[in-house]
Amino acid sequence: MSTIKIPKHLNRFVTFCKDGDEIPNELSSFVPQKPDLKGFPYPLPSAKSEYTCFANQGDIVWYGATTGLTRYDKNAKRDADRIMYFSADRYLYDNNVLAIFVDGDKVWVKTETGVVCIEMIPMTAEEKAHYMTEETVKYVTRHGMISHKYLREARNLDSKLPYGECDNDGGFTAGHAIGEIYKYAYYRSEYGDNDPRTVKAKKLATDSVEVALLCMNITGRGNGFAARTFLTRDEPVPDGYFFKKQGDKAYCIASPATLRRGIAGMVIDASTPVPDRLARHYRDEGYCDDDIIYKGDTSSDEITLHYMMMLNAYDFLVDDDDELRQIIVDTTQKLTEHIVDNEYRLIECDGKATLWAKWHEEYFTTPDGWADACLNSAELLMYLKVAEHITGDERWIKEYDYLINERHYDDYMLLHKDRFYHASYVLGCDPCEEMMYGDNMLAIMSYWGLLRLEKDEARREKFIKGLRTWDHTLLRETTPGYLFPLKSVYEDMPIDKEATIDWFIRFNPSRLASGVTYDRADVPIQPMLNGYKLTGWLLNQEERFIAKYDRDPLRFTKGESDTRKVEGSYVYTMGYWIGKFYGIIDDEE
Amino acid sequence: MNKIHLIGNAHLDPVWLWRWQDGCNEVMQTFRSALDRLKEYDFFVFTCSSARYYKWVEENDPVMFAEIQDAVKQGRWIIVNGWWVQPDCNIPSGESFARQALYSQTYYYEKFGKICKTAYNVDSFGHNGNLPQLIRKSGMTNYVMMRPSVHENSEMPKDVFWWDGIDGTRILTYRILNCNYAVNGKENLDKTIKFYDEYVENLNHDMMLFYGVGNHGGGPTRADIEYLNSILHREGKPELEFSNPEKFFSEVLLDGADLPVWSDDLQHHASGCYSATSMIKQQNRRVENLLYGAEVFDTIASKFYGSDTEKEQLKEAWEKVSFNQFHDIMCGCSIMEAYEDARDSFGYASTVAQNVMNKATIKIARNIDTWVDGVSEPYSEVRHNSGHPEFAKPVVVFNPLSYDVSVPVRVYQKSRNVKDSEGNFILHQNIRSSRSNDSHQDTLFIADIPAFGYNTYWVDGPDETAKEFISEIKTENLTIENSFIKASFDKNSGGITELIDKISGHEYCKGKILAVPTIIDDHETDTWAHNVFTFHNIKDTMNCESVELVEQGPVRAVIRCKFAYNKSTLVIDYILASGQKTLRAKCKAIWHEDFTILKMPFDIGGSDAINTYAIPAGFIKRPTNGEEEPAGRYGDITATVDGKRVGLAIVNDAKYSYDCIDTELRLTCLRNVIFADHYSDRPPANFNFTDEGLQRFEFGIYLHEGECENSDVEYESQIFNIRPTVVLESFHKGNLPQKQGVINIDKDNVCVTALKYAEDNSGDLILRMYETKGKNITRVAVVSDIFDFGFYTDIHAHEYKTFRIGKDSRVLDTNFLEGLT
Repeated sequence: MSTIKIPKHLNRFVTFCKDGDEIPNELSSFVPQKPDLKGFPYPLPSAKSEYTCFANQGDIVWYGATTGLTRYDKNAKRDADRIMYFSADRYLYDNNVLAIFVDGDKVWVKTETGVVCIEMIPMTAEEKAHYMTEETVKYVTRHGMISHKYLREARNLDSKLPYGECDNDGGFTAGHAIGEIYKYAYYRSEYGDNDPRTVKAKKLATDSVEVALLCMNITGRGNGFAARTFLTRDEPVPDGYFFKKQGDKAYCIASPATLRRGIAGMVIDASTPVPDRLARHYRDEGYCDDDIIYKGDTSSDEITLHYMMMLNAYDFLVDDDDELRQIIVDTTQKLTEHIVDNEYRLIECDGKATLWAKWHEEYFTTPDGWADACLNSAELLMYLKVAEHITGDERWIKEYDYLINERHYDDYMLLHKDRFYHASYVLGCDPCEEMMYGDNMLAIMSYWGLLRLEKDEARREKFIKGLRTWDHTLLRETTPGYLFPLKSVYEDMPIDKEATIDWFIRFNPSRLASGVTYDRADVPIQPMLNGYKLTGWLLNQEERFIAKYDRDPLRFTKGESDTRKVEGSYVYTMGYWIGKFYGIIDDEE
Repeated sequence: MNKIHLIGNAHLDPVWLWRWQDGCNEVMQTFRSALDRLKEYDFFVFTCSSARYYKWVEENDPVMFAEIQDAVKQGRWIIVNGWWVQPDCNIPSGESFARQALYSQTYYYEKFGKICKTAYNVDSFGHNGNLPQLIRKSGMTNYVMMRPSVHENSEMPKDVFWWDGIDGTRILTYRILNCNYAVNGKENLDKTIKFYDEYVENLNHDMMLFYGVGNHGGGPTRADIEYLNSILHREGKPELEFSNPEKFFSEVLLDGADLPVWSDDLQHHASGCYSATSMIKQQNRRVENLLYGAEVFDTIASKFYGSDTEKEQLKEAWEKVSFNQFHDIMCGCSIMEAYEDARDSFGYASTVAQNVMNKATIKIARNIDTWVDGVSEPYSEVRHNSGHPEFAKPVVVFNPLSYDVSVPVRVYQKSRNVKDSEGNFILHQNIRSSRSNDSHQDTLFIADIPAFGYNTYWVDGPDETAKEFISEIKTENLTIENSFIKASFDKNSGGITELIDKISGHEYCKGKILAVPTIIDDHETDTWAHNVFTFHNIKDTMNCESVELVEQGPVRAVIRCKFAYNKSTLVIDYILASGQKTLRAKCKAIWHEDFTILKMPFDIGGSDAINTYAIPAGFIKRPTNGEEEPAGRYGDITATVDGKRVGLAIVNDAKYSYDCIDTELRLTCLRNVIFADHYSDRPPANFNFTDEGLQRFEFGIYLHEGECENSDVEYESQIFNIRPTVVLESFHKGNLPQKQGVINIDKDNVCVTALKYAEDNSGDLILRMYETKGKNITRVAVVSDIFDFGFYTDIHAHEYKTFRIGKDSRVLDTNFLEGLT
């Protein structure tokens, strides 16, 4: 497949005017004139009767409606660019457009509750990647971890709250780290070690990897158990399995969750020191080890992403960093020992498995585990293969061979689609209602690792068959972050060129999670069996909700908007840099 | 240990070896019996399908109907099969399946407060590869079927499996074993239970046993119910339980067994049924086509003028069609008298369709601005059929398809010239009409008509200075050609000796003679052709009596081939028109050969051959293994010849059966066997034969390069079946332009099968369409100024979508039930 060229493209930048801001007088004196849309050849996001005014910007026309703003470019080269929709909360204060004033490149729009200024600014895909990373590093990181951040004031990134953990901080940070690793690898291969871009990328990648490894080592238990996330002393502790470190011990904080489990107040070992290299990420902020509260009950989400983070760091980042390499080797070894020695489970302080980190066959025979078996078996095989690659310990390849030859874990992998459909039937819902979208990324990571490292053709063929049982979920999205890792190890992974270009050029440069309006005349709503709804076509990123890799991009939502939340960038950056490195995409000259 | 679910049922054929009136009575009596059994045995559960049966009871005995409603509410009477009847599952169009579901499930919802979740066709002979989607879109998720039996298809999973359709839709399916769909009597019950006892031992799920007197109704007897109740719990054996299909499926799912997956259609049984009794097949296709067009223009006319639609009439017409799609009717295997009934009811449906179409097109045409200054006699001027008219006459041609078309259109009078609505002369030709008075001539011209629209032409104007057209139609001896096809005919055999695709340059005959009507001996099979899957016993070919060029002009050329065999004759007019990619063959057969099949063969040679057949709302690929295959509007053979992939499709307007031996594709034109001859040793009688006498039908030859699905075969088959309607108008002012299309869809691999208003009288519009090339398409734009909507949609390969468009222009992507549930 030839490299897909991503053109430079206009991106939406919106300034929400506040009281006291200078606003053109023309906006107040604007006289709305209903546009004549008879015979308009394309579907419009508002019903024709809803349009109330318009303004010209050269060959482009901006139409205002009671239900949002439409930009029409009859000369657009790409079909998807012909009609663009701007709606509240992301682009307007509200959807009732009262006036439009075009002032050169700026488009001022007055709605019932405020005025915005829209600019369409051309950016390359690479520029966008950097823009997003800067936003993420500045606004989204919490002790170096990256998932999302809440804001005190709507739309004001500078008002970010200093706290706000997420259940999967560790996993999302690992995902972010993978993107940064590939950025470094790309710049290194293109420009050499000493180029400023390479140097900067290496620092960012190294920081992210260290923070992800910190999550894995922060418990101090010394048995390989990884934490989901961690807080510091001045952050509120929500409900969940949280442990406060104190000297060489940690005690389980009482909460409804820990009380239910019967571990509240339990005191456990925390004597294994956290490597300084990793601990500096909180020590440099003025915290000490005793200020750390970490979250347990870790799931396979974190573990899976961590393994692939470690694999990629090992292969691309640490060839000249012995210290970090050794930390990766030790962490991998300890974690894998934990899983294998505990019969393929992650064990909490009470000796029982965590809720969502089970890879043993007994779990596969339970109602929950029966459908999970197909993904979990792939995960475990990947862990062992990666562990063997990083540590060189033959024990792991023996375990891997045993699971395939004796326990037939690779056969489970072939059953994903069948069991998934079966499970949705049992629940009486359509498959997409039953789907855990986060599982897509876990499947990607598992198959990516397996196909990268497994050289035996027969086993590869079986793994590919297993991977293709995920087509019904993966291919409905056209998400580079899914497809590019797989393409790098599996030549025949189908990639839609035009959809890929659209994905990159129409991706929001900012990850502020303000919502958009879904109630559109040009978007059919598709109800599912259990009330879930889909959009009739895959909307461009700019015109759909902002989320991580954990939500159905086809989901129809109404009223879901968070102007006080900003997401991390790895949904874009991971796919972008992997694509660049492997030559799947490039920016057009 | 696994369980055997006892399903009390009554296999009811409303028509087979009896007429529908007896079928109705059969239903009434069976339902009475079942209700009585429910009263007598509080553990008994009864399962029954088909909305038509319930409606019969409602119409004829409302008191009994109320009892059924009560029993349904109590969960003791289980309604299955959200369709009007148990139809044949190969012949009805996709839209027919949609109507089967729409009218039935809405009926069930209204009368019983719920819809069916289990589709149920325990006797239908085969199941097309798109059926899983059609079932899901009907609101159902499970399927009970029986045929083909294991001895007819041993590759299919034997009992419970996931069935994937051509679009990837998956349904949970149960296959009844050993034709055990109506087990009754102690001896049979014992034998069947013993079989299942052993069978379930090695299974990881339960099984169902269908008991009750059936075929001609009856249902479970007291003796059977009491006997079964006495043996429910047997030491060391699987438990028996009075149950129903929904319970069975739910328990299978909960068992959590890994079930096999099947991704092909479910065939073959009764291969002969897809060509027996051509009349019923022809009526089915014809009326489906008529109803589609009528409803489209009824909807458009209603929108233009804010008038009511003929929804109720059309619904009644569709109910007639749905009934006639019952498997024993549609498959040509009922008694002859039943076909007289079926012809009558198809006639009713056809009349409704034509009335509705007429009303709608007149309404629209009368409001088109056709005024010409100077006309003093606006009505009688256009009725003037001789002499020297002063003004050209306006003719409005209507196209209900979702494609723009450019096709020949006939006006029943002679013309000096034809102009379009912009005043340009266009290609026309006076051709021999079917009448034999006055000029004996009609006018044929090529009309360009937008999708869902109309265009106005002006015929027989006084202006004699017609442009000299350079026509692409060429003739020489017995060769006819246009810019797409060249065909030469052999005067000895009447077949085609040269057939060239002028776009690719490929010559298809390569020394062979194609299209020689071939007679197959069919003495040894019965009406169904039980256990026979191929018809290769060639008896003879028809003798060619003459081949002559009977017509040539700028619009078309016609070669007529006449054949005879004993007392049977066949006349084929091969018609090649300007700009048309399909060579049309208009056939008239008068058939007297008993126990025969007539086939039309085309051998294209080559290697790596594959067949593609139209199925309801889709297509399927099949190996060229010579088996008789059910198919709809087209069958195709594509092979590698001289290093290129080339194909030949046979489109048709009335047929449902093909076979292909290696590279020779054959259309099955007729099958003349005894009516309802079921494994019979045929004691002597004055038998009536299914296809004796006059048969009129058309087929067409379409040539393409590359794989079939990448060609225009779908388009060609659509325009072959649904032809424009022509209205001779008068001169008048009007608010409508002379040319207009009402809905535009910007991708060519989408075909619409319905444009109507929703059944709930909300005023919402329903638009149904399917993807035709087996490819995913994104952002299909569907726009209508008149109906004031515009939306995009992604459509997956083979997906069949129904959109409900509100008066606020908001769109719901729903299913056949229009958002009912």
